[in-house]
Amino acid sequence: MAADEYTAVVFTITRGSFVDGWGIRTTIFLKGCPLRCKWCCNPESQQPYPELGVTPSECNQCGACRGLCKSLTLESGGPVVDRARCTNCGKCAEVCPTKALAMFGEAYTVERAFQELMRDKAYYDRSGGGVTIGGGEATMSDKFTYALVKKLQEAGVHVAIDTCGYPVSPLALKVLEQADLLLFDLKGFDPERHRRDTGVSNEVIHDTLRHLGALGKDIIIRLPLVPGHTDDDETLRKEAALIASVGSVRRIDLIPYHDFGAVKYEQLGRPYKMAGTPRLPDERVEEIRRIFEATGIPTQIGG
Amino acid sequence: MGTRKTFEMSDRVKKLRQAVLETPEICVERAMYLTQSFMETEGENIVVRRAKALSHILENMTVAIHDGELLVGNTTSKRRGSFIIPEIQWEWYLREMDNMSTRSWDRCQPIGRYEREQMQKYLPYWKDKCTWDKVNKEWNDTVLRLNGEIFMTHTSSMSGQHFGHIAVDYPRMLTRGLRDIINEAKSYLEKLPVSPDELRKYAAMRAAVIAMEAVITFSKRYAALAADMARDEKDPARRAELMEIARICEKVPEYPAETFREALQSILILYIALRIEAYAPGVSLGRPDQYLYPYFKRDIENGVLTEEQCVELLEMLLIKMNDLACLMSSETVEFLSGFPTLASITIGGVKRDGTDSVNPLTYLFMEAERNVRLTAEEFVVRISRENSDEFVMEACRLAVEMKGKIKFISDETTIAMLMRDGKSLEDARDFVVLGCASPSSAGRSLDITAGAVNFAYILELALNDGKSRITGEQIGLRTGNPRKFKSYDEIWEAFKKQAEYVLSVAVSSRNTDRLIYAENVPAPLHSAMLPACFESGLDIVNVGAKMFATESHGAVGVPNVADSLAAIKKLVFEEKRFTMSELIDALDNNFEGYEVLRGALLAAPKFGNDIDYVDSIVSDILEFASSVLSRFEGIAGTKHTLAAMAGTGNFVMGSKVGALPDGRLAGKPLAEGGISPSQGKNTSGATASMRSVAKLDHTAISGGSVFNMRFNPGAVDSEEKLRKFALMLRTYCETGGFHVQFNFLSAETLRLAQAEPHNYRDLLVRVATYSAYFVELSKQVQDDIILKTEFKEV
Ligand code: SF4
Ligand code: SF4
Repeated sequence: MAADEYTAVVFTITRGSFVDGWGIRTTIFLKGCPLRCKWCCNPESQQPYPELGVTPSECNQCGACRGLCKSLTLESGGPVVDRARCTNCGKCAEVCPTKALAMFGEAYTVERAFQELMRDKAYYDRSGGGVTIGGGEATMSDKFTYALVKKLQEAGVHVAIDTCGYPVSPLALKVLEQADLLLFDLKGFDPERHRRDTGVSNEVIHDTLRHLGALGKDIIIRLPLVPGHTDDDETLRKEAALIASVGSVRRIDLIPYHDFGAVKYEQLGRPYKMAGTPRLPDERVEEIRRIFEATGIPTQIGG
Repeated sequence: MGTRKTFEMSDRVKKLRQAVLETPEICVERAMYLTQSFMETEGENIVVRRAKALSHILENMTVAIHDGELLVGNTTSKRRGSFIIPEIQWEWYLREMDNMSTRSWDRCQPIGRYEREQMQKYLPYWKDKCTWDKVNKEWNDTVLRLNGEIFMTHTSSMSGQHFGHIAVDYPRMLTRGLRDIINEAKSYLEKLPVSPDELRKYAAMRAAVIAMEAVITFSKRYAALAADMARDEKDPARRAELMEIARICEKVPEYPAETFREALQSILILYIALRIEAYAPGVSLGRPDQYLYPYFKRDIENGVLTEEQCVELLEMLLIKMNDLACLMSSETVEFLSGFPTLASITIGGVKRDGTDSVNPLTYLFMEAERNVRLTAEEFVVRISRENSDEFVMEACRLAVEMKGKIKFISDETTIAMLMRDGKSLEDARDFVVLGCASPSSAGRSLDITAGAVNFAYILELALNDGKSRITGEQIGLRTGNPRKFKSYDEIWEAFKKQAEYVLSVAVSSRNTDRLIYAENVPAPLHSAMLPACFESGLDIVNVGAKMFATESHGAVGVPNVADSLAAIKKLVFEEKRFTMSELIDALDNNFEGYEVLRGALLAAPKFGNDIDYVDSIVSDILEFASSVLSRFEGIAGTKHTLAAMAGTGNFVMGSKVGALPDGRLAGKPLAEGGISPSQGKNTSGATASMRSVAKLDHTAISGGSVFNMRFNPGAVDSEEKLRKFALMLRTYCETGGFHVQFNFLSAETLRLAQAEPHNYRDLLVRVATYSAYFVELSKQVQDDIILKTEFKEV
């Protein structure tokens, strides 16, 4: 297969973004992630295939989906999907006029993604911006992402990768080495708790970070501050020490926990494990900011 | 705060500002004195009559100097007043007299007894004399059938206004003084006029002298009043100020201004007189940071002016521009809701020689506007490659602080547009932006827009054999049964035929209007202030001296037409998801029972998302319509051009159009602003919308176009993000965009304002292209503003 024909499932492309890296950027989000963070606010990005999203409140009872599929029944409150049987084939979403049934994710070839991402080239050039590939975890789609990064760079586009730092293959690591900028997530220091919270140990992640630091890669660290999980002083101090030791970290972004993702769990028919988690008070966030600022690296709240 | 110096408003400026925030009151003085004069001058040359009428008004209207004022002059007898323009339309003022304080849009204070009596006494004089009555007698049945149906406020008389959209040659008046220009006119009057041209110019010069003397008299009335008040004034500081006002008003505008303050007073008096003579939204100050700069520089260098004093004077000037609220009939107000004044001040961009025009006074103008931020004064910021990043950042910062009340215009795109319409490179570089977003050359050009043509309606005609889907009436040509259309091309052909027909009627309607204006409402003061008119003796309404004039027709609903055509092309002819017959059935039934079909239409490509498939159809429509218009001639060789702007007419125009193949339901509003994507349809991000708009050939819409964007204030909440925003704007301007303005209000704030209007009296929003107080808008317009796509921070 020619590199241009590799595919990945894209769940959204956001243009004209002022965050996710330097300058004005387009961010492409790919589906598929090796981690399962309990607080993930993009659960639709975890599986590497397109998935059906259901929003019964949007349904206007037009009846187009009735009898279409054995896993779907139309009730007075809107469509109900039997998740155990649904194959995410997308037929029902095709007929639904209101997006009560809609698919998360669509397959893109490298070529198609490239064409789409090049549209704002003038904006990247004027502002020192570029493309950010996020997810999910972009390196999960290693062949696709590697080909896309190369192609964009050859066209003179700066490429950032938003990564959880857990490469699933040698090629996935090469993707990170190839990027011009890394938005690198850190999710707690204690390996055991990290495993409970995200499904994987963080040793590989820390190794990856040190490796990229040794290569002198530009890195922005992103730290989700999740009450009861990643917000205790000990964790934060150790993280700060790790970050300071890396050498090429340009900025630290603190991302206070929010529950905007809760509705998507409902749409996907999955339980939301973080219900009831409070938001961190502003004073505490500011306190945390000072801990990281002490490393001498610029630290900001929000991406 | 960047490099800008900040100055807070002084207490007296705050009080002056508060006074023009009141609900407007009707002032009958203009109508009364105008009519008295016309009753006395019957039989005389119309140009002279108009000058005498202006003179009678300026000699008799109330003059007042308010506490704390340093710049003086009032447009009406009220602090925030609305005058009456009976020579254009008279009847509706009487008809609507009782409900003007209770109607849903643009309410004024209840009209008092004295005012009612005067209105009843003087307005009926204008029966069959006002331009609207005359035009109605001239228009043939075809024009009358389409007016109010497909056209709205499409001619000046229909909107009850003069021509507006003009910036006179202020620098000429400032440097010469009116006396010198009067002497030039008088020397012409010493010779015996022989040829018809000379005879016409002779009358024009007589009128010019009367009109300019009237302005001098008007100013001297203020001088006398100030001197009187000084005599009774106890406070020595205020007494000194009043004496200074008296001195200045005695001197300017009769003689050249020598100081910054004299220059401001001089242009203010002239500006007021121009509004009184012939008003429509868009009477503009041109590029004051350019022509006032020499005065400012000299005063600063001589130590007679501080920057702080300069800002205070500028604030007073901007506040003065708000003393008039343009009252419109309920029919017109639907198109231009929010008392539009559109008194534009254009800053930024390049000078006539192509170099950066920004100077220290430019920044002080921005600072004054940051404090004043009222509705009438419009700030247009030209963005050129030559302008510094610092300037563009300051302008963006101002736009964010003002929640969006700043229009941005691309220098490069606009200069190309004007040159295509025949302007010289220097004149094109010296452009100003008037009215909603029409480019023009100050003092050298008259570029009029007046209302709009409903393009969505034209598509409906093509898809219904020339009939309205709502009333069933035969409005357009018979272009065949749409169910039988076999290809996209057949639909496009039908659309073109209907468009050609409708546009020819639009031109006929407009030309009739202009001929009547030329005969009935010349504007001798305006003409004296425009060198080309003055030298030729041709009045501005006659398009004096073939003053490189254009007449643009505003296309409304073009995005709806393109979205509809794209949906038909893709779903009916390419994917064959349903037939033309099914589509027409669905439209006839307003999609009831056709929800699935409507869902497919809604999911088809939409303008504003950088999808060439549909964006190219927008281009096709604009280029076709513009080429049709270019074939017609206007009076005195005026060119007819296309614009894409909707005012607030997208509501009322939407109410006349049935369901459309873009999935829009019958009667719903059309796309707002002209070429702003349909409400809620631009979902791909800010740069995608910008690219959709920037890729259009703007020389096809040389009358201007309006592109409004909504931004969440959070998207620009740091210096770093604001810098990115500024660079995004620059990129848009450099890659073919023409106009853009941003609304930075959060939906929450707007909903609160809806619920508690009294707490949000001074909340400004963009309505189409001008600013209005949010709480003075109808609920429908308010809801629409809230609905507009919000580009969230991501
Ligand atoms: S996505 Fe396919 S399998 Fe799932 S409910 Fe819809 S039609 Fe059935
Ligand atoms: S197709 Fe969509 S809108 Fe229609 S009944 Fe099914 S879920 Fe509801």
